[in-house]
Amino acid sequence: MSSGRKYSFSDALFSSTFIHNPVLIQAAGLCAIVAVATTLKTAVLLAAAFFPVLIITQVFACLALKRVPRWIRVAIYLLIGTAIIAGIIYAIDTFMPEISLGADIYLALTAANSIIALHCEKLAVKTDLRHAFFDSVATALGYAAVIIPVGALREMIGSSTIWGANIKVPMTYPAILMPFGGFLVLAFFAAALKALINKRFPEHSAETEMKIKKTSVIVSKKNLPENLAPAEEEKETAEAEETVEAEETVEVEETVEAEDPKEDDLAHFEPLDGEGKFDLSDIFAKDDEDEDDKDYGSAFNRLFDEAKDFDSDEKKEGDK
Amino acid sequence: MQNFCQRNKPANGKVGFMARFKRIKAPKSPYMNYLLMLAAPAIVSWYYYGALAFRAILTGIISAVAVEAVALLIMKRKLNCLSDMHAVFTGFAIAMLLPATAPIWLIGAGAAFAILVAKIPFGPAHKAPFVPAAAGMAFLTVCFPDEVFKYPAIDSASFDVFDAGSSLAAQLSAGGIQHVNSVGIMSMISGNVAGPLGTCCAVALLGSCALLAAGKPKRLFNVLGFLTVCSLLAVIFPRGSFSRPVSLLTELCAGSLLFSGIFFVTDPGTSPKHPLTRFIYGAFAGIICMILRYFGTFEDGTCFGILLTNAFWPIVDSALRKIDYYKFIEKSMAKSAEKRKQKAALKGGEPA
Repeated sequence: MSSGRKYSFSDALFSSTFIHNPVLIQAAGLCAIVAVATTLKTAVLLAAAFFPVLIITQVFACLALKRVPRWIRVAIYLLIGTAIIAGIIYAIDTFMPEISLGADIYLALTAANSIIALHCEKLAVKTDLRHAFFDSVATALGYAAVIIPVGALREMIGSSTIWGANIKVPMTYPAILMPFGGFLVLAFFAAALKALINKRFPEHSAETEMKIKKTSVIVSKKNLPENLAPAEEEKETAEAEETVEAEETVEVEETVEAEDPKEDDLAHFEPLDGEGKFDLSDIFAKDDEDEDDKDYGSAFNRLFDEAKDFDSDEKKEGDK
Repeated sequence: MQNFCQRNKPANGKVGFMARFKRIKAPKSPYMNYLLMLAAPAIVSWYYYGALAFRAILTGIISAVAVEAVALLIMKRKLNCLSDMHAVFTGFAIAMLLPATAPIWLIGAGAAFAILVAKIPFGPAHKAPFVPAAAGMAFLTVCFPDEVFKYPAIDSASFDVFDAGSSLAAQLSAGGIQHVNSVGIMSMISGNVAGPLGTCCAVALLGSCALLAAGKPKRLFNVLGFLTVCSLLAVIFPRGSFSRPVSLLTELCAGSLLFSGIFFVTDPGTSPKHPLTRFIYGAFAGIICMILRYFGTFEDGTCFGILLTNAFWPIVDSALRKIDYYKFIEKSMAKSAEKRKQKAALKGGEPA
């Protein structure tokens, strides 16, 4: 968004619907989608109910809650949302009693949707009405753009129906109707959106990075006591040997070139030969037969290690 | 640790011919070892089920490899990821966990889910936070429990007679003491009971365990931790009115407990690396698997137990950190390193 021109609806659409999608990028409001959006009908109802709740709450927050203390504001968002949802549920029960979607509790929980508190606090109480209104509409559109395809897809795969009508699907997977199926579908949607942003709008890719806090400290070679760190002599010996190998045969050189440590799966594996000997005194010895220098972590920890914010934090600490 | 070239380096400083040959070859993946270990239960399954076993195994392997190849091609990534044999292992393991008469589409669906959902999104095999084969089996169990637990009667000539609820795991979960007692210990150990294709024969699985000990001995700590806890719980809390030894034997032989303990708990991607931590990890997995056995909906929920272990291990890891477990490990490592140096100095050679 350029600072020289007015904030337009297309800007809001680009930012709040696409780049900062409330569900896929900000990971907010997942509860209803994962638990209830198992059919297209339910998904449309939830999306429709979310529009008035978010728009009215955000506009009210922008107009009246800027000078109210923060701890009261959040409670007021909840009250406004509850009032609107109560009206919607009453209207459905009165005028459309035939609709039995089994989403009552989650429809009521829409009032406490985290997207509402997030956008009101982050934007509505800090900007003008135009900005807040456009953002609320665009955010609700972003929510609908996710929940409706997710509901349709889960209904098709899990029940072989769409809007209640039977369709021909080669195989039905009822597991997709369970919450973990919802998470899986959302994860693939999020990955697709991220890939699209990275490809088409690389300048915005940094904004879509999920910030994950590192949960555990893993003992690495850097943290090991000095007497456990690989000796310089050993390093030099290994380097010298590699040089000798490279000089002796071209084939070896080619093999080494072909191995890209970042992409090659096998780069972290050591040969299995000669691994049969084992001494029970090694129970406390460093297990250096395995993949990398993260000795005590699982794959989850390695995923956390790769979080960019953690790297940046380390750099900051190093600078300090 | 010295690699092959270092160990086989001649005195004149040049690299030996055989060592060079070894060096050119790509390093072996740990999953090669696992495939070797799977050979024992595969042979037993062939003995009991004949061509059906080969059909299931081939279907699993081909499905997993094909799905991974297609996915890598679509994602424009190098196909050399296939050479780590992880896809082969995943397809193989899924086939071994299903009934011999499982339809081809069922095996293919499990392998496809394992590769597409539990492996490919996370990159190489060692970065997957869950064991893909366990994820595939859990998916199949949730979606198609009837097909997954529909075991053929092993003494039937054409395997078209289905003994519903006759597997040891089903009998245990239903408290069917009469059937379990009629099976006999030898049948239980040799796998001569209705059940998954490659998980019933405890003798073959112990052979796989011996291969594991020969190839990567430290991974045995995972199995030890797992089996210790499972055995203790089976002895202390027997299901039904069994004697405690029978309860122990039946729990270990039933379902995929032993198989998962050997092949999934030791998975190099998700397991910690230190021997003592490996033992704790295995014990944690054992507790969760046994809890699911006692209170789970399905007759065999070991795959869910493995997935839950993968999911909750970071929390256990952080709890261990709070009690300064890793500091203790570091000190122990420092001490053992000092001892090694002293030994090496006494011998006059280089430290190993």
